[in-house]
Amino acid sequence: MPLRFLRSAKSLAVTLPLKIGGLVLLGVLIGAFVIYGSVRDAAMRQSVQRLGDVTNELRGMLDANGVQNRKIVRSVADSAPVVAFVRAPDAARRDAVAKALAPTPDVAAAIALREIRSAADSVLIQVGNGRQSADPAIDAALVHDVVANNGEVIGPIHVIGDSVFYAAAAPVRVHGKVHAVYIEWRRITSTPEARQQLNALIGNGANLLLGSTQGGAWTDLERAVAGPPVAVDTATGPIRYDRRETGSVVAMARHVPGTPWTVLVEFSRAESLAPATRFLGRLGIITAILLVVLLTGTWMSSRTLMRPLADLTHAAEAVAHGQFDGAVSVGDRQDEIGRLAVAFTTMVTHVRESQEELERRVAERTRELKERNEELEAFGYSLAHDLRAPLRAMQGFSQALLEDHSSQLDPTGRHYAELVSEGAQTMDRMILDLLNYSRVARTDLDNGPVDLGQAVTDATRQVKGDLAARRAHLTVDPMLPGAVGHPATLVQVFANLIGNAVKFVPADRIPEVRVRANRHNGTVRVWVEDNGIGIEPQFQQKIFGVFERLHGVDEYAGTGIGLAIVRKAMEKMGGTVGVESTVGAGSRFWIELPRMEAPGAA
Amino acid sequence: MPRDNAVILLVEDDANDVLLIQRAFAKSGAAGAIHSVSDGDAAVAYLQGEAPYADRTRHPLPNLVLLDIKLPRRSGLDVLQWMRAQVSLQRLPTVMLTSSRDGGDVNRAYDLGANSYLVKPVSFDALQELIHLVSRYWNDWNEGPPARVV
Repeated sequence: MPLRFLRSAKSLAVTLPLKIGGLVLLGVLIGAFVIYGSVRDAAMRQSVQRLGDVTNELRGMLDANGVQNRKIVRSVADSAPVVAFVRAPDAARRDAVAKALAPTPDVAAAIALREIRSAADSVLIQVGNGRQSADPAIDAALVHDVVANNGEVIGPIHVIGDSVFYAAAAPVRVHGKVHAVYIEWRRITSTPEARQQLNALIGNGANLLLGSTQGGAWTDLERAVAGPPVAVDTATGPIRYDRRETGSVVAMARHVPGTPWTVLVEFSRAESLAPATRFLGRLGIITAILLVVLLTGTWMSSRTLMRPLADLTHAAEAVAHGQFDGAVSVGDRQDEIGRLAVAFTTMVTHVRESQEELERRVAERTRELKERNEELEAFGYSLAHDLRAPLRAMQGFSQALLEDHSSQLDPTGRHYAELVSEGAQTMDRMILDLLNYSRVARTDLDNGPVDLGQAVTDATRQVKGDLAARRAHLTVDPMLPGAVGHPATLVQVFANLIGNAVKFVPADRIPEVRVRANRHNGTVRVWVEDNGIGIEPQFQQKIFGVFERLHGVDEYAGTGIGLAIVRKAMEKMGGTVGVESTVGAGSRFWIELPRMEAPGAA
Repeated sequence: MPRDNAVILLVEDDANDVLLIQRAFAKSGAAGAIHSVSDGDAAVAYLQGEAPYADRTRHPLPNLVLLDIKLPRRSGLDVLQWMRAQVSLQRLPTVMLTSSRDGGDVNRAYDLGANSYLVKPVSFDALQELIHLVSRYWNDWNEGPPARVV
């Protein structure tokens, strides 16, 4: 049953939840957008904060490492065998230095090459097998810087193939003067433990890069990697760029003091925003659940709202169709709907009572009218009969006068007595015709199948005298169809029409009367045609009125009510009557009735 | 073939009609006499032989009653009903002779036991023919109920 509310998309039961749902969805979306924005900002802030912390910590570590490295190379440069070798590079000292510089097994992996170069950048001694890792240009620059600064210098990151190196250099002083430079090339390697530690420090999705401040190679402490696509030396805050392999990243760069190095930590933006993304996902699920709950709730409540409204609507439509018996029940509600239902029911009750009162009054009036009508008819009927008694006296006694006392009357007296008698008889005929008309008019006819041929035959029998008196020729179509009507009344109709057809023919003409029929759509039209005097067009309707005559009684006898009876009878049978006529040539009267569908059933 | 002179009781309040019917009867040449009373109570009194109709030599019991319907005091139908309730009168041939053609009157008359129902014509010729036929039919040809032994 509730589904019928959904039949119409215009129903409030559909539009209301949709509108409310739409509004709430909009609100939730706006709220979600705002909250997501702030969550994202917070995540990004936190990310940048952590990025700064991590970068600073790494810089600190590298700084400490650099200090340590400088301390190491200084201690080597200041060691006695080195100073002695530089002061006097003989073979014995060379051997001593070579022995001293030979890396112990624990550092052999990290130390690529140890060398002592003169202040003029000529090689005094090289120890180690990583000679190919040393870069002459870097060596030259280191020698120059060390001599110029008279202090330890850390060189830039140097990449050869997949190996990453850097050099640390310290002056070898003889009597406070720089005589040579000690350079130690170190391979940057990290053990899995170290990498794990580092990862723990910087977190997943993060990338540590080490590069030279003045451009050049970058390493992730394992191998050479591509540097950032933008210059990072001058940046102090977080920078953002796209990496082909990891996508958008946010990064922070710090110069490592005492070195030409820059430490760069990259965070994947997606990783950084992961909390916000997770939040968005959860928000989406919550929104969906909320929306479902809300739509269901709205639909349910609109259903409870709509059910009584729909009931009211149906009841109102029923009232509009004239049914006043449906009471509206919406339960015991005190709200507007409850009041509306009560008011509606009250209104319907009033309307129904008024309607019933009206119907009662109409029925009462109808009954009164019918009674009056019957009284009037009975009165007219008995009056017509009572009128005949004096007529009988007039006629009877005038005739008695003529028969019994004729000898005492002169011709004029006898003529007068005849006129009294004739007048009485004429009036009697009129009264009889009027009674006849009145009987046709007030009788309800039970229409049924009629054999028109039989009706015409019966009618012909009634006017047999008239036909014989005028020696009239009557031709009747032998194949008259069946029709729907009242047999006895139709006999009278045909008798009147045939009687007229014979009567209204000039005395010197033999009446030719023809009865035939033709069929229209569902009706039968029977024609009664004569060769009589005809009827002028302006009188062709008038002749169907009561007591309407076109000729004097002396010319054509009659009371003028025959055609009125015909018309009234046809009305009563649901048919029609009409006439076509040519003055002097004849008239063609027709009647039309519903046709009997089954042939031969009549 | 008249077995007896006809004795007809005419119950009719219209003196003109009485006169015309008497004349028509006379002109029809039928033997017998028409006795007339002018209201329903008088008809009952006549048929019961009460005063002033106690003398049966002057007011003989009729062998045909011509009964109008619209009558003063007691209608023709009431008279008929009363007659049909009397053992001695229940089979007395009674012909309604009235000016009413009302279907209800006709049905009621037959229901109460009228033997015929005739409507008075206006034309005297017709009236004369009617009276002639009625007296001939009921008096000469009709086999009336056998006289009751009192």
